[in-house]
Amino acid sequence: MKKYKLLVTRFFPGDAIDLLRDSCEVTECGQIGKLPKEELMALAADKEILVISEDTVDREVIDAAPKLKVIADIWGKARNVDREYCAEKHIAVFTSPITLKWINYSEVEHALMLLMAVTRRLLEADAFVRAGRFVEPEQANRDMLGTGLHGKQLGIIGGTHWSGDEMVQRARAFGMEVRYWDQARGEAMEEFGAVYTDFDELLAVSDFIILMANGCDGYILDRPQFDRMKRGAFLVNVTSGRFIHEAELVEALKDGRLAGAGLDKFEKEPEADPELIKLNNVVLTPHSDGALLEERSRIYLSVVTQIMEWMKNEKREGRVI
Amino acid sequence: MTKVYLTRNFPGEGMERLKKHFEVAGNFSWLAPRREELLRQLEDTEVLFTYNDVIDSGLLDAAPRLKLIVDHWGGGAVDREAAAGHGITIARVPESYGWIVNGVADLVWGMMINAGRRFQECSRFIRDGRFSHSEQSNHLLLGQGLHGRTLGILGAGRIGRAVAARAGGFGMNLIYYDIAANEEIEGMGARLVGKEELFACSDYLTVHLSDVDENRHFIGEQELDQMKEDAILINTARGRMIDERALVKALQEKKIGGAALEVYEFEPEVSKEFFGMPNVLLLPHMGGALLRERSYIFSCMVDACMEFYHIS
Repeated sequence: MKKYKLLVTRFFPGDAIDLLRDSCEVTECGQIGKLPKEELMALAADKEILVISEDTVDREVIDAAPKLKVIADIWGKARNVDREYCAEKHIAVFTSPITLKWINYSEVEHALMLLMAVTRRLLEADAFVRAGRFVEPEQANRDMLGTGLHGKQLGIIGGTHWSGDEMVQRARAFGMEVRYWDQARGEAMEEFGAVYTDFDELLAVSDFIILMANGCDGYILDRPQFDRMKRGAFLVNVTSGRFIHEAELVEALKDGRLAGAGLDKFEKEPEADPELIKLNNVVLTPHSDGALLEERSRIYLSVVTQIMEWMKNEKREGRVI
Repeated sequence: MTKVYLTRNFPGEGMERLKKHFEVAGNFSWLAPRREELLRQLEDTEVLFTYNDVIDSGLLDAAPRLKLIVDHWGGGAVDREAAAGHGITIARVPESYGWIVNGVADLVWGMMINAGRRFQECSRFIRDGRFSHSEQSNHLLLGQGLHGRTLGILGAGRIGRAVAARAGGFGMNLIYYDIAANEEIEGMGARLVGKEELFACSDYLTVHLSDVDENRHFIGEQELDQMKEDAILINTARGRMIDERALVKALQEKKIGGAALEVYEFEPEVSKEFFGMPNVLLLPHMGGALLRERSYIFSCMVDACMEFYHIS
């Protein structure tokens, strides 16, 4: 039986594509970004199945791929695919039915990871042991003192638009007192025990500030806000880097206004302020708050199974070439 | 002035207060003072601040001016009979272990989340200057989360229960193993399972066994073989509960996904093989390394001393 010619336009985690290797001649592009249009058109020219991830498949691309029968968009809900034209051309379009709730949980876990890493100095501590400096069990009680979470005050900026209630739930389980500020009240957050607080007061009383803002023009936190924060507070951000004035954050960290910060996003991503990288009391991750293998693999599998179903139907209805 | 001798370095503002009213001498180290040093200091010390040091009758006999002992951990290692015989008071400080239970439980969760999400590698990635595209981590640094995963708690003592208490909201499946069923931990949603199930089903396995001889090498080659290939093993209990040579081998053979260790079998010796493993988080026994909490205890120790001398 002839194999379908299949193109995977960019890297996606998981091995789901292996399920198609018997029935398809698979061409895999391994880069993480999207292909330039000309390249996509050239590669798609002889393909019947296109496995994309948010790529743009417009009229021009479809016309350049006369054999195209299936487009499967792993991540993008086919937002950038000309569905109407696909219907005209009898091209089946598949997307993943899996909801992205797991990303919300992941982002919240990631924020807490950064909080724990910076308050307990995990990076320093690991480096300490690896450098051979661990010579006496009691050392950490002098050289690696950190900050506990129990009984401390967590302040959430934002949260009503996504996952704030998930954050509050977990924070309360740690015995933290939780306050929040957002442009509107968050019923779900309050149900789990968060107290709505005036913005300035939130800055003044919180031991930890976690930024969970959604949309906002300009900086939410720059020097005037840092100055209003409790001396020795910790800041964590997994939302957009544009909400924090990075250079001024560096100053606030250097002069001890903030005891530490944990960041997953940067103002000029993927560039992190080089001064930030130098600081010992800062933990940084490379936009990895959604980097979960199993969850992403499952999403890949969910479109691959649809392709397999389609192939079965083709065979059943005698349309196999 | 009355002389106070501190057997260790204690953090916090308590020192300032102490120095205002007393002549303060001390061994400002993390190591216990040598016996000769202690004897020398005890010649004219009236108040002794200790850190679970063994204060036997020999030392007490050599301390003619000693009136008060204030121990960070409640004075369990002081010869109480001998102290009473010399008319020496042993001060009470507030509940000595609650704060450390929270400290360790917090740390366990920190270790779990960090190990699962490959924090060390993510961190190094940026510091090595490799971060050039937002999508890179979804290719090169894929890890595992907590939601929907199984947390296995080995030992339902105080710390095991404090770990379970923090699971609320994380959406984890909680299982535990202990020699007897524990109502309190079950009230937090943990299900009692047999040893085999604990090792076979846990995505994260945290050790909280009591420090008794029978528990030495509780986790060995057999148990590590039973564990899931991407399971994360966390140990904040005592190093000897895990056969460290077997753990090294299991990690080398990819029998488990990673480990986060705060204690070691031959502490402070750490198996050198761990150093080359990016999936192993190595910490220097720091479950109780909390500044505010220790400062608070020291402050209470100073309060006890001031109270004894009727200083407000």
